Amino acid sequence: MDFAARTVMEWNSLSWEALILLSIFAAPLGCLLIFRRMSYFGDALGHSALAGVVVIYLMGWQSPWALSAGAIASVLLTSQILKFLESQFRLPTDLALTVSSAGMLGLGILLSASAPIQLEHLLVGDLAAINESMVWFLRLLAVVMLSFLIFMWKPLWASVIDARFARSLGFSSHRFDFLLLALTSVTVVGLIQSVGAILVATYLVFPAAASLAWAKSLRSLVVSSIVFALASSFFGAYASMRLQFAPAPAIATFGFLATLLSHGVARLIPSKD
Amino acid sequence: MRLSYSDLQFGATFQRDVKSKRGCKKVTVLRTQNLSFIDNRDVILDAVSFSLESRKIHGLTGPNGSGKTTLLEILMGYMKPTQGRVEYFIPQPVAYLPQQSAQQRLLPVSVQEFVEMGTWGKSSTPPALSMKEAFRELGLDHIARQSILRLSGGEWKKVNLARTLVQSADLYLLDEPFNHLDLDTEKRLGTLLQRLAHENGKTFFVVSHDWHAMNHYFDSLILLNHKLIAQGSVQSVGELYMNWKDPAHHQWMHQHCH
Repeated sequence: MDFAARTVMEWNSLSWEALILLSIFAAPLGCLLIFRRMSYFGDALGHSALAGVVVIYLMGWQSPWALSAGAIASVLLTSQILKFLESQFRLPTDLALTVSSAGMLGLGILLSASAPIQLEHLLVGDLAAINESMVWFLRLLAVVMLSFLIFMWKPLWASVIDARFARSLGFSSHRFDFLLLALTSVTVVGLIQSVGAILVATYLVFPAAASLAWAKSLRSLVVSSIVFALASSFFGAYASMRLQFAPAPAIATFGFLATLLSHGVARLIPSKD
Repeated sequence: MRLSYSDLQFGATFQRDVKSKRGCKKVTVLRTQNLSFIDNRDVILDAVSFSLESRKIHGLTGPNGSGKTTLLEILMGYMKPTQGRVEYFIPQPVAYLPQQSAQQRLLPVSVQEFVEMGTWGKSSTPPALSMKEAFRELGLDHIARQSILRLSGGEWKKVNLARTLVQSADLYLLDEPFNHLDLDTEKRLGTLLQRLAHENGKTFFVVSHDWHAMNHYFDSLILLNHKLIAQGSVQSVGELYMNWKDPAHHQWMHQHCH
């Protein structure tokens, strides 16, 4: 398979809208994940969600809602496997995470052989082929994510930063942990459709990592992560259109460059405090 | 470690001592009954029973690894006791200053914003300190706008302490708040806690190894070594600890009691 050379046939307004929506909901979620020490976890979930998505395709469904259900199921399964490996077999977290996500990714790829979808679409996404119902799904996700951020700013951040501290403020951190897991898996479904299972980090990790260099407050962290995500989306998409290669790897590369540049430039500018 | 029967007798005596002195306005905020915690066959806590009166600074001391932090974490509900129970007679939640704060130092927030998170709760109980008071009392005004990434160990401790004290609660569990503090700050913190306890009606349960602080500011002391060895005035429990026969702990006392 030749992922990188895949040409983008036609970019329509839906693809552009998808990019904007992805930036709006995945980047803030990425910010939350960093402080839960879950950014690697989020990326690993992207790999493991593939199996669930493929199973749904195998069952003959294609709607984003059904795919989400599959992804959530496989994410929950993975997190249970992870817990089991950690508590019963006493594996360190990073090892347990790699074992469970690589295992689930392998399973997903294996199952995809007989699914009515090209593996390539799942691994690096297919922004050009994104359909109306998927965009509706992304719109809903963006609304849900933004309303969580606006109305649950304090409990969400408190439980992400320090679960015990959140509990001593009277917030139920378990509930928010579950919420975060659910949001992550639904987000992963959106990302698999657009940038693919392998490049989930493009939207979930890079924008947050890049804006850490500049942010002076939680609010500015979230806002600047969205700006970074939008910027690398547009540069990546534009480059892929002009030079005729697949958008997802281009966006990922721009995200990576943006992260490095952002931290490098922040180093050069002397800080006031 | 094994404890002799006579140690437990001491415990009983001191507890009676406290009860007889109970003032009329003071109430019990918390009582534990036969609290035990066993982790992989290691007995961390062994039938610990005590109660805490309101409006006081209660100390908790004992050798390293004697179960002090475990006790606080059980009181906070972070861990379930293997046996026994904890009864609260005050509204929840309880504020807690952990010994080591969770890894929050990546956070892109200023000292001001970090401390402010303590006020995020929804409880109707008044906090021990307002934001303004916390910054003044702990001497944080000059670093209020600084990023939390650039604080020294002592400053970080004070910032965490400030965040705990602006929380709304009746009971504050503080795990080694005097660690890393310079003498002047220790003095200010000691008198501050005294004022908050005696005048503002807050109750503190403070883990400490700092005999200077305990002697000067604490109202009572619990000596823990997996079992509750003694509870009583700082002086009487301190004396018991000094004269403890165990050579390892004798040496420990020697290092810490100047």
